[in-house]
Amino acid sequence: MLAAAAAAACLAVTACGTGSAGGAGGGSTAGSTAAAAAAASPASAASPASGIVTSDSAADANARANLAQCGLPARQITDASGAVVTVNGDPDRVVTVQPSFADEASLAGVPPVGIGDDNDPNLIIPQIKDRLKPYTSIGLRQSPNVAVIGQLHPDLIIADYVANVSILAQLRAIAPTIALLSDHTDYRQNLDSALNVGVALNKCTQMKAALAAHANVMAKIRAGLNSGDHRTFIFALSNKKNTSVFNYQQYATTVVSSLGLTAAARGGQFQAGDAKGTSMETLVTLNPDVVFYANENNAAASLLTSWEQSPVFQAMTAYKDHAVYHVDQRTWSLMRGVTASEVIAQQAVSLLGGK
Amino acid sequence: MAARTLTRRASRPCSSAATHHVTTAVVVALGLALLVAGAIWDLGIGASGMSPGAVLHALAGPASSISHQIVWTIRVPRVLLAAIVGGTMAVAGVIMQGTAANPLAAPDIVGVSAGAALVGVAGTVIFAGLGGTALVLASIGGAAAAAFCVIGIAGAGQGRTGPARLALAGVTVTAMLLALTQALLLLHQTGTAGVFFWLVGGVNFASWQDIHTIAPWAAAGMAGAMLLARPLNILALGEDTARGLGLKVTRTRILGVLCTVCLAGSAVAVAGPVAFVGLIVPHIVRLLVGTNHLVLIPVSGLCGAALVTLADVACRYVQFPFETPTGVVTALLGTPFFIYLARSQARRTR
Repeated sequence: MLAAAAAAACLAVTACGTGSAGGAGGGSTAGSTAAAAAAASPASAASPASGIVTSDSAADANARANLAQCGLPARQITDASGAVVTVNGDPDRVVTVQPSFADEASLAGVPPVGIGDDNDPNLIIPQIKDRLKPYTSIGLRQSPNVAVIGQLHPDLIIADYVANVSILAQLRAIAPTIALLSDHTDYRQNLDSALNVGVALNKCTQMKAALAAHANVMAKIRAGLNSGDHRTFIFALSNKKNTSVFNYQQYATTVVSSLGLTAAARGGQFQAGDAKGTSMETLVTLNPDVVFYANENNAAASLLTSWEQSPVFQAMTAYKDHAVYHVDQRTWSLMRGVTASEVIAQQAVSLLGGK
Repeated sequence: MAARTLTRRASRPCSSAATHHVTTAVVVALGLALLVAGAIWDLGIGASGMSPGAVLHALAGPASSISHQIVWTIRVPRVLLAAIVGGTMAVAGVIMQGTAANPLAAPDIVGVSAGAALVGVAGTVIFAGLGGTALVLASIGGAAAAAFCVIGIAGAGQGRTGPARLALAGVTVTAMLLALTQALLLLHQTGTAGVFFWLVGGVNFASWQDIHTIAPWAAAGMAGAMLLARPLNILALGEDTARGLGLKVTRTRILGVLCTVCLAGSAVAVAGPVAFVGLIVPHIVRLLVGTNHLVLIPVSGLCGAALVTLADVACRYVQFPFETPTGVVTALLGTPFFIYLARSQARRTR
């Protein structure tokens, strides 16, 4: 019984990478699912290895269409669920379920009053936290406390389409709620989400300026790496019981790919998307030039840490080249968003060395 | 009724004894053949795509070759762990059923696996430093607490509970433990991505360290199980008869539960709750070789080892070369078997 339930949960975790069409809410929301499939699906391609993804190259049709609403007193925003949400005026009591949305709202000058931080303020990396004002924790990102959100009297809620699809109707009963992409998405989609946040907050100018500054920062970081460095790499997450390799479409992978490196976890089964339970033998067969890995909870020990002692693992190019790097889980697998991508990129370049 | 169910094949006429021995020999031979075939098959599967010949060569080849290292470091411990976990879970099922005189008793049903799994999850998301023997001990503690809780609720300690009552108590306690496990996962979302995988149960990431961790517990549990074989044979005659024959019933039951939690708890600590092995195997083996625990225990161990080894082979093909928990396969086999068993017990009760 336990195993059957866990098996279902395990499969559900895998399946949520593709998401499903979200229900349209009431109130200020008009139902429309036309764009849901396109918005919810993983990126059609990895971020191009040859250049930084900027707002100019944003591929999400919703983000582009929503830009036309900039500056309007009542903005009709098509979110990732396909719902058209009306946001009036300049929201200043914003609740964000994901720290990445909090990052983007604060970049636009509207630090949220409530944030999903899993009841742990240390979840949010200092580079984002420094820009925030004191906020109320709304609890878990996956299942935020709806009552606490209601007590904050928000005028805008920014939910995660993948993680919060089941509670969108409840959230929309409290305040206008846009469901954007953060969890199980890539770098490009996160930048698109940032644009949508700017439109929703009626801070398009500030957000465009922030994204332009971000593009400059990323270009400078990238310049720190040898331009001919196209080594293959993987990003893996490990605990004592499992190791998952993130494929080329995952967030941290797409950020590092944007620096010019080549994601090794692609093709074959990796093409199906999402992180996969990966054995040491599969990892060794993949034989990346560089391994970035994080331990869950930033624990000292994990399965992958123990693999490093194995002669099989030590036969891998990355190990022989001293290119197995332990990175911070919060930054690389939990944050996402504009600031996190800069931190990931900077850490990657520092670890890889460069010019 | 339950004791009758477990002993009805023991009263076979003497004229069929020879046939019975032949059947037992055939089952042992078949179990061995399946185990060996499964082990060879399992050894031959891997991302590096070695041919069967290359695997054999690697087994005996120079220690410096990468093929040798892959086979001996990754594949051999995986096959060994599959066999050990399968054997221990199957024997745990035999002992639990004999102890409770209840055909539905199994580590999955009476909450033993769920108790150990709860501790295993806590050991990952809260006490990340817990590992090795400490984690096994903690898991055995969790398994024991769950088992005694279920037995207490169902009144199985007095041997007067029916199969449905024990299953109901087991389902209730398992549901509670599952809720606690899910609460742990929910409250520690930052560190649970791989725990779902482990919760299904499997030997996918086996290492020699796992073998070293489980081996003493499995050996002790198996030895304890064999020592309990004769007392369980007497207990199967009914509690009053057993007392009349001088058996210390309560002590036997306590030792039986301790043996079960030692076997199942250590297996869950290392491999997660591989489902239904302790239910499926003892029933099938009992149908084939009878209820003599001196035979039933080792043959169930052998068949359990074969089942999990073959299940591990099957799970490799789900999304090769990536890992699918072995427990998915055993759960798919076990769920309909449990329903069949529960329905057949209900018919007998009517």
